Amino acid sequence: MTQATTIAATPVLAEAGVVPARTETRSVQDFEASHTRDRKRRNLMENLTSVRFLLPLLAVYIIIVLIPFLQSIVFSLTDYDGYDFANAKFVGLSNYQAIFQDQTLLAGLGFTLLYTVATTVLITAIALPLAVTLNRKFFGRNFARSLFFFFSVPSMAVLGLVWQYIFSPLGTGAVNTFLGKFGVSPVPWLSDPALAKFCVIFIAVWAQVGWHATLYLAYLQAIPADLYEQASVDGATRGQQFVHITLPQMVPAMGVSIFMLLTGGLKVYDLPFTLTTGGPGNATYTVTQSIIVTGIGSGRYGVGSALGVMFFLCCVILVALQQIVTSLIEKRLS
Amino acid sequence: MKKTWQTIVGAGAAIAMIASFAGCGSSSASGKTELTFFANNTQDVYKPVIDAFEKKNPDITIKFSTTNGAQAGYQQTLQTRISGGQLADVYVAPPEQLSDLVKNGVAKDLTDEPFMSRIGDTNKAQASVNGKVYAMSITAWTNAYAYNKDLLAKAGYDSIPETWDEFVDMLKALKDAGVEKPYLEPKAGLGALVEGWIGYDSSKQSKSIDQQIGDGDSTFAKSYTKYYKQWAKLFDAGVMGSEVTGLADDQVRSEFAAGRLAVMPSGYWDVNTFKDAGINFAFGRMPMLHKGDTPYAPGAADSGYAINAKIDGKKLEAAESFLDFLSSKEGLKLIQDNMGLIPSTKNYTPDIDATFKEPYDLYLKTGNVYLNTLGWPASGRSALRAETFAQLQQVALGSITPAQATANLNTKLKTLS
Amino acid sequence: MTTQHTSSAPTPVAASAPTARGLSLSQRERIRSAIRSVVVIAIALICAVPLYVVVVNTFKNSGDMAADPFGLPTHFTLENYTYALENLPVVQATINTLIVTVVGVFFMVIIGALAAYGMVQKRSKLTAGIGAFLMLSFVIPGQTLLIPQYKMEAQFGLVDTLLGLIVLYLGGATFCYFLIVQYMRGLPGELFEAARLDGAGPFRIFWQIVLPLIRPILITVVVFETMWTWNDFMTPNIYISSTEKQTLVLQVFNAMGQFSTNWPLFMTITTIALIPVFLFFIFCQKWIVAGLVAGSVKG
Repeated sequence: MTQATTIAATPVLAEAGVVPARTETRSVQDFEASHTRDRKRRNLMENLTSVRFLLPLLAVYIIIVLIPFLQSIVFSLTDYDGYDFANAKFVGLSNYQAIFQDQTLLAGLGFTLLYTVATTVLITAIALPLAVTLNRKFFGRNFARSLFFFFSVPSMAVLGLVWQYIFSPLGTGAVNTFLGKFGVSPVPWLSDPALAKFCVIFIAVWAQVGWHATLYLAYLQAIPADLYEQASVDGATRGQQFVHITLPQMVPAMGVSIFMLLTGGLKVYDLPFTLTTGGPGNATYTVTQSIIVTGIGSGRYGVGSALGVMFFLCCVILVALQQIVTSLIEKRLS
Repeated sequence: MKKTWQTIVGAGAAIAMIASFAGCGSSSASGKTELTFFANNTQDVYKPVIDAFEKKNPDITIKFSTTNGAQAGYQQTLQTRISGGQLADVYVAPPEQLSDLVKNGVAKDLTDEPFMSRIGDTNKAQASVNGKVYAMSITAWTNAYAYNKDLLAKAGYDSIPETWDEFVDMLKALKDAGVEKPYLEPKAGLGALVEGWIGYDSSKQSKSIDQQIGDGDSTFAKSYTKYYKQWAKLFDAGVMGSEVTGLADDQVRSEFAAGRLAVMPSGYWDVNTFKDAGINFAFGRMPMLHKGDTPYAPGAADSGYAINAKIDGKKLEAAESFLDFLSSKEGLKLIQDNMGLIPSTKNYTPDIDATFKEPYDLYLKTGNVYLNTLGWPASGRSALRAETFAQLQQVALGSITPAQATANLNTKLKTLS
Repeated sequence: MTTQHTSSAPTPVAASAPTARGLSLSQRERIRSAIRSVVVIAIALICAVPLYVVVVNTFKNSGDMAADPFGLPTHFTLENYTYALENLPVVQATINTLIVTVVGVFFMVIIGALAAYGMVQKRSKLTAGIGAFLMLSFVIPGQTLLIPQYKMEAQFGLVDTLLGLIVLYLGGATFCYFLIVQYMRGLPGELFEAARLDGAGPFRIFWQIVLPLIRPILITVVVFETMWTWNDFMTPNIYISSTEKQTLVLQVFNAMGQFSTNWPLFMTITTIALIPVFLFFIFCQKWIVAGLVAGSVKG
């Protein structure tokens, strides 16, 4: 914990009525002193209490996620068809070999990565300023916040249909009708590989920006007002405040948001599938679609599981990289 | 503030407690035989059928359940439930899954059931594995071209011509007459009509063309290329553009319902939507390659009803009488009226909406329908079918030729088997 | 000291500025806020067009919608609503959804928050290891878990029960944990120490100090999880087969035939299902941003 945040954050807690403001300095000193006195005994005690609090989550996680996943690793080594596992035979690594022979999977990998990177960058770039704006006072703020959060709540089945009408490549599509008023001839939105990729990413940004802005909004509440007051006394402009106070304070929040975007992006399925079914051609095919179409949906559960396991390994590497980068940035900033 | 907080958490906990008790309610058992039934259509369309059956059989109650109407969703749910040993007593068995269902011993052999005598040979053949029938299929579907009579009249036509070349000429004439979109196919139904052509050519051989591909006697490159080349004429003639690669079913239907589109591939299920839209329409033939070819269209028997092989005694009797009722005249009429499916059994002649008369007489009465996936290896069907559309989309975009498309299908087939 | 902090956090300039310059500043602020209103609300409305399309089509029939999905209805009809409310078990489905959502979200958030608290209490190799281990759940593709999870629930007789749904939703606790733990790390650990020196046990600290402190993220997490649980289609679709146990979102089945979907009815059911969560969000979003500072003044 850096000095800046310690000083800054304590008044907030004092405000919250948690600690009497005046005892602030003393309690920190007490803490330092006691820390040296019985560190060892504490260490063990603290580890035990920590784990006790962690137990319910660990239990839930192991039962609902981990054990089923271990089972699917077993499936990936068999020719399990998804019905009765008693009929399945052990086939070694042949499912894994089969994966690499599939051409569409490579196409899927390319678009999945593009989608993940593009949505992560765009959503972060839009959601943060949006959150800052939504945190300022203006007429209709609650209404705007609700809308931004809410317009992507209906199921993808419905929204996919609506967006298909909006981005229809026909002259009668909503966007093309609008452009037509300015004499622009129909744009092949969903029927051109590059534009279709753009549309999927655009809609993904639209759907998630409100969600991530709300997340940032929550984190903005934790920035102590003192920091801004001090800065404005020093004569800093709004822009300078954003760069020097808001952004550094938002680094943990960005870590969270980017992590969600990365992992969600890699697993994306619903949106491209409802909007383009992976087309035109294989332009918007995703890895998860491959798991479903060539694996699980075709009664080849073994292959689907193998795909899932491979995918898991790739994701672990990517996410580990992201974590390392984030912690490096956090260290440099603090 | 602390107090508010504690009150909220406390209230949450209280609701949680009450609710978890309420959630554990159990279903009561009565003297009646309860038959579970898992279907791929909505509850309100099945309700009249089930009500009528329960009225006739007061000692049986049917517990209905359904899932996503789209085929893929139903199949996945059915598979998952079987894996957990939760299969219903009577269920709809999609042809794609039939061999897996039989292999896993969850479909009862229905070959010698008395009600099977009502079922036509086409329907029986599609529900058979190794010569035994495992599902009772009582209805059938076919594609047909829906056409807008007013738009066709602009170019002097009043019906769909017999051959493909004449059809393409008609579309050109329509375009010249100012119909901007004479013809559109949905992206997940591109080239569907080639199945009709393959169906006719298959009827002259001992084994269907797709069966030959599935068995490895032929390849997509050898058999399909000429059909795809014919289909690609639509783009060469400029009557259909690459925009079809981005059009879903619903958008094509919208264009037609709005009276802007002259012809689209469609089926009996669209009759009501088009009537609601108030356009002057009818359903017609799907043109063949040569004059004098017997008309064939993409189509098949609908998924049949199967009985869980693991039930016996009173439940089995109940299941059998339910299937008997479904295939009776009364049951068939209810099914047609409520689900819009077309009965295709020997014991019943359905009344068909006047607009659909031509395709009904041409395809369903004769049984001249063909579905390419039925010949392919069962475990790869849906993936391969998706791949045909992905390949044809690339043909539509002009990025590959029909020959390259069929070569790619060969490769895909190899990875699936 | 207290008065200085009464203004909402990022806009302290106008409120705390000396009165001499206050007038011009507040005028400038007023103009700025007017511009913000116009721009933000305009963008929000444009972004909400798809939502408008969903709602407007609930007043049409299939043919009308197919002919013009964007326009106002040519023959305004409430048929979809009357059909849905008369024929579908809306009341039963709402109760089921409410049970699943309230119980599920409550336990999810509590389990997640407890774990997050345990995690920030002590930074050691053990907790770091557990943290990394928990993160794995974010990269496991859910599709591969489908059949193993189903088999497990079937074994314990949880298939086709609301309890079974709740158990599966508890998997979302990892998500809650992750959001909350990151937020907690931004808070000063000294505070917990101080409370402990006052003689408070860890559970009391958690209940009385930690939970109120993390209210913004807690409400955010509750809102996210509520939306997600309320709207989830996949899980009940596979697990629930009895009509009387269906959730609200599952009622869209009634619009999905074997070959075609009745979109206006589908959208109507979606709208009906969403109204409660929309109200819930409007209620909650004030809490997300009511902020610690403003809240404490009243308390």
